Amino acid sequence: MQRPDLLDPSEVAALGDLAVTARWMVDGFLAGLHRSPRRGSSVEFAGHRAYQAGDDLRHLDWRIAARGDRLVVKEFEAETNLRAMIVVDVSRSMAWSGDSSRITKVEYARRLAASLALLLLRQRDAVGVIAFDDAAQAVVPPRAHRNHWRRIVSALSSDGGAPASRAAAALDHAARLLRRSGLIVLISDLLADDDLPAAVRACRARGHDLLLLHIMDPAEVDFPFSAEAVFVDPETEAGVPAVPSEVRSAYAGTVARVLEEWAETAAAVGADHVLVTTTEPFGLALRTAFARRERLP
Amino acid sequence: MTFLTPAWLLLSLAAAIPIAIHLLRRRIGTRVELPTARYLARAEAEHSRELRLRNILLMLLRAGAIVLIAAAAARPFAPVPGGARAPGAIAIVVDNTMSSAAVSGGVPVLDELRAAARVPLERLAPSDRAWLITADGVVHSGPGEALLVRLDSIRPVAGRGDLPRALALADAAVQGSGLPGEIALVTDAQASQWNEPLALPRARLAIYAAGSAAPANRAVVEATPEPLRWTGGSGALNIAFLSPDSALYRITIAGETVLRGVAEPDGRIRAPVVTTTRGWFAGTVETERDELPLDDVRHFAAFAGALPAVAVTAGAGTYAATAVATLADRGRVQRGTQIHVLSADNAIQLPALIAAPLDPVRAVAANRALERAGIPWRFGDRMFDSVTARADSAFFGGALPPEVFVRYRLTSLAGDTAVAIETLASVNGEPWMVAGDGYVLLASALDPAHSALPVSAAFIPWLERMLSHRLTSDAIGVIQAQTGDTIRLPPWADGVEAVAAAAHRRVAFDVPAVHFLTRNGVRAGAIVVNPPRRESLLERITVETLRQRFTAAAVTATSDVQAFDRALLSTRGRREITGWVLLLAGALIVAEMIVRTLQGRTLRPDRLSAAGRRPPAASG
Repeated sequence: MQRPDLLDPSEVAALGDLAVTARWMVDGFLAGLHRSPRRGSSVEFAGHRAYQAGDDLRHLDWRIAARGDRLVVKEFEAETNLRAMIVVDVSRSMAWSGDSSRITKVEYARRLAASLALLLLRQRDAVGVIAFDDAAQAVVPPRAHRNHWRRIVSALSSDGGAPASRAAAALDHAARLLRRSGLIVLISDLLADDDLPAAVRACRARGHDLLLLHIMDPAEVDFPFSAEAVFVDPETEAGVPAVPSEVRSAYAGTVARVLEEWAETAAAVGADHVLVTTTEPFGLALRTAFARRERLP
Repeated sequence: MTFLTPAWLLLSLAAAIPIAIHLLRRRIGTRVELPTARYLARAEAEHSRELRLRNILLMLLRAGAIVLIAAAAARPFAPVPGGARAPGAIAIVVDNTMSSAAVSGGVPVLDELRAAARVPLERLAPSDRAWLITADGVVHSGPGEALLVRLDSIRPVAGRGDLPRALALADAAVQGSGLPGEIALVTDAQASQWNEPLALPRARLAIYAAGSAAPANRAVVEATPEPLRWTGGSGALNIAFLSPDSALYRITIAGETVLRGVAEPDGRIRAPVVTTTRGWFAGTVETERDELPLDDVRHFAAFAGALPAVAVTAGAGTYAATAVATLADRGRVQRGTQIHVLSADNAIQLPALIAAPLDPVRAVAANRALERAGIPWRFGDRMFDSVTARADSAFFGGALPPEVFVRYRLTSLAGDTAVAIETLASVNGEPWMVAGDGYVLLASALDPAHSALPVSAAFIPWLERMLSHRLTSDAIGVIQAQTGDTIRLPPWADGVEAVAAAAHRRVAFDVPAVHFLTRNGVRAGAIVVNPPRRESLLERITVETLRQRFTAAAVTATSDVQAFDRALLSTRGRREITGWVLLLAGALIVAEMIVRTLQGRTLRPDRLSAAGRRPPAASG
């Protein structure tokens, strides 16, 4: 049976909601790595829960037990090596698919973000999420405990679709939430309306590690259209009349140059830029992000 | 390059379609949502010059292909070195009308036209079809050598010919051959010949117009005896000359000169003539021979004999009596009982000029008299209207026919055939003046109350012709004809002297002359054949004016033999190059497809991986 993280994203999306499919993919991904979750070298008190048979008695909170008949155990959060923020673009340009049989860019981004967040949480990393369009629609500060996953899923399910993309502002917000150095993963089509390259440089100047997952639909890469038409930007409503057969080559060249520019911008500050099309299995993008995380000290 | 069917060149207007599309393409209506439209705008801005040049190249290739396809449909011909010439067809029409006999600069015009006609004939190949057609409609076909012999034997006709018909025959021959072909017309461009437009919509026409100047011409254009019946051996001739200067003339009767004189330039004279000849005679009026001799002689015919003796009964009316008295005073008739002028209600003695009774009460008596006289007509209902009679143009001496106010409807007892043959004048399509053996019957009285005839200027001349000719047995009438005309014999004539019996009583004469009509074996009239006056007018129209007279698939006209030679396609070393043109059009179409598809290539995501700099996957 093929690993779920290597299935076609459209097939995966059809199998369940965000949380279910994220767990499924992460399980498959980790199984592929043949590794068990990393354990922290030290712990921090994270909270109480009811005693269950089999719990380590050393973790029993005797003071609470002495006050009453209630038995509770202490939960500890492993001290993480990583604090990460996943910044997801949910603007109107992301809610597009070049083919009705493919998932939209935003659906791909949400599932990728959810999977990545769960993967990092399994690694005992603190993970937060910002979903943005022309403003931050949902903000979840980075935490490492297991219950934090539900908040992340809820944030990623928030509505978006505004006709503008303020990625730079979202990056800046994510950098401030991390407080100390961490990993910021931006999942976006990079069709931002503010100065994103400057925000990238600012993030790195603050000492954060940065991974740009550039989401594109294959139609945005190939320009497979055949009929003459006016091609309209859904965010700016700007229209460009064109005959596809005449401009296809020039368009492809421009896309290649845009990708080169982003790669150069990222490389210049030590960040990474990776093109991810919505037909690529989620596992490939997860591997890229996980590899980035593993390189961190 | 020339084209066999140039009308197809209009198809090249379709080349405007790709041009219009190129200019209008920015008004595209379909909207497609594309988040990366900004990349498209950037691509167009960065490659605007290349895109513009490419679009222009595509537009030119498409328009060029359309133009070449249209040119191919028009069947182009061009000089192609080497190889055999494709078979063709050519019909050469030679204008050998009378004017071609004129001599200009010492060279007969017909010789100049022959030289031009020789050009295509000398280049005919065995696979070619060719015809030689003259102005009188004679068609010769055959190989080039035979047609050259025919060409040398062509002589001018003594008349105007029928060049439009000759051209129609040429067109039918070329179209019927199934080969690419044309008509070559060689003509002197005479203005009186080419004064009407002519349409040959399917034909390619190459015209050679004689380059020599039209010579001045002297001609006798009219010679009319007055009266037709000369009495006492004398009469007169009304003669008209066409001459740039004074003209010497000579009048002959029966071959003998009877008068000489000098006429003013373009003069008209009335020459008194005396002759001892009796009965019908032929004569000529001749002027000095010049560059066009065929019109220097004009024929005429007249009758010399006794005056008709005419009796007018009281019932004929005062107008008839006065007119006969006038004719008697002029010496055109004499009193007697040879011919009677009377009202139909009187006893009828033939020969007679019979008028309807003025009093309608006398109509019954008139019919009884007609019956007793053996005249197969009867007076019917009285008709009242004001209608102009209709008759042959010369019947009333060139004057307008009279108005008729009252008439009897004439009924023939001899059937419709008699009505058609012997009707001299009609009113509202019904006989009004009829004639038969020894009678002329008028359906109105000779009174102004019935018709304007008795008070018109044509009355006395008409009466004289009826009394001197129609009602005599020996000098009934003269028919004026032009060379080439087909003449229908009048009912009172049973043949033409010295001419075999004509089929369907029709005769045609190609040579000017006088031919006597016989009745019961005796001369009773004449057919006088002369060249048409218009053929003596040698003025020419310009080459351009001549070209504009024709509507054809293609028309060229020139006075230069070399240019005429170049204009001829069928017999020149040119070949149809439709295949080559289509090949070139195909090459443009292939080039358009290549240019279009070269721009259609796309970059795949894997080719973008280097640009996206995907980092290596983490090891497991």
